[in-house]
Amino acid sequence: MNQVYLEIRGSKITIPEGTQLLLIGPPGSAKIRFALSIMRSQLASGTKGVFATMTLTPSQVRALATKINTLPVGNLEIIDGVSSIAGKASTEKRSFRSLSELNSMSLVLLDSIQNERGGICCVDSLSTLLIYSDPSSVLKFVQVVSAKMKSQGITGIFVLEEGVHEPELASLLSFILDGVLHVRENDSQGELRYEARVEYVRGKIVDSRWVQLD
Amino acid sequence: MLLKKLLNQEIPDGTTLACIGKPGSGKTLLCIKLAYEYTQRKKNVVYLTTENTPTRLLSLHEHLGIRFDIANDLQYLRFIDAHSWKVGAKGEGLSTTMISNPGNFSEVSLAINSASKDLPEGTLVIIDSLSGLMLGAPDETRIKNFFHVLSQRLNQKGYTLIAIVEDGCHDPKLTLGLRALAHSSLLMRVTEDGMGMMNREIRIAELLGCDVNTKWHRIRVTDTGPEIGG
Repeated sequence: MNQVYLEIRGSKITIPEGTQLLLIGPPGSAKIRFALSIMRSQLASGTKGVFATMTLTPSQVRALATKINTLPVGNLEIIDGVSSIAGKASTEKRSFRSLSELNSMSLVLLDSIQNERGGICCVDSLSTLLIYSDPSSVLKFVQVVSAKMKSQGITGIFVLEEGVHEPELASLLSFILDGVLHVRENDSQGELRYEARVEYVRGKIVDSRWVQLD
Repeated sequence: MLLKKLLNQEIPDGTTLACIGKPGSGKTLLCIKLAYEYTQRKKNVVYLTTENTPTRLLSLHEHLGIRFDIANDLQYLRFIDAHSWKVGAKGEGLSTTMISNPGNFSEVSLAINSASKDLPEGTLVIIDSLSGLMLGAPDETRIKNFFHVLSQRLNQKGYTLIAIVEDGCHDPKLTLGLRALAHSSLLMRVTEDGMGMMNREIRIAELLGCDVNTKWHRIRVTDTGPEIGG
């Protein structure tokens, strides 16, 4: 099985291609920035990246991606899940018409990666989906979408707010997916600093120590 | 022998074990290694997988040092694929039985039955995992009924059953209830040092007629897969 790089603050680890990751952390803990920085290392190899956004607008995601050098390196497509909520027409190639229609959302998402082999796809976030749909439907959505991405060798990152949902749900999601990335905030002398780690990845022995994000 | 430190002997034929731990605690790794040891002793294994295709499962563990020899070992290993339905894929080689709806426990029972038909006593059946089956089920409490019947039937044929249960994913009463239906449990946990480095540990609960060591033991991954240390 091919391995792909996952770069966390300059240190590279290899993971099996098609690995599906759960990215958890408390609200406001730089998860999106972390996800985009992970995407950078994979996009650099010329494969496609997809970022499905349901909280930030596409232009905010682009601005953030540019700031941390994710954007210029590759082919990043943004699926717009916010314009429809704001009652605006999306200017992106693909968008979600409604966040409560998981079936049509999975079709849009799968359409964006159709015929792709390799690459990386981030869904931000499952917590937003859970506002519109019940947990069992969201679990099914994750099961199907992640299985499809896995079969095409695409790395998946599913973002979840920590502490917002029942602990059982977070456990079930980590069980369905192949690994967990964890972000935490650290109050150091009155300043918030963010740290991240890879808790585990199936098929890989990882160094699970915390590293400080920029 | 992987479980030597815990059990000091092979798992007796006709035993049901629940393997319980949080996601990422190494349950699948342990079960693949046990499956490998069974095939090395020329005993049959039926492996039901819900979270990966059989091919991916073998390939992932090859990277962790468990290498099945295609010509010799794989003839003793039969897979039941309860993953590929998600992507609408057909089964692959590896003498696979397919499950199209893991939440339908009748279908699962029939699949296990047909995959294990004609296999001799001493066969190992691994369900990886009961939690994966429950995800698709309309009423997850029916899993106890399914597990009870299945373990009785398999054990009477002299088969050993190991069923993985994800800890923290269900009502704790249900997890305990499943544990109560097994002869014994393999419990797995993850501990952390001050730096955040994680260690995986395993213990075995009381098993009738066996001399068990119920202490927590560290799991290490070596060039030849996992080993249970002192």
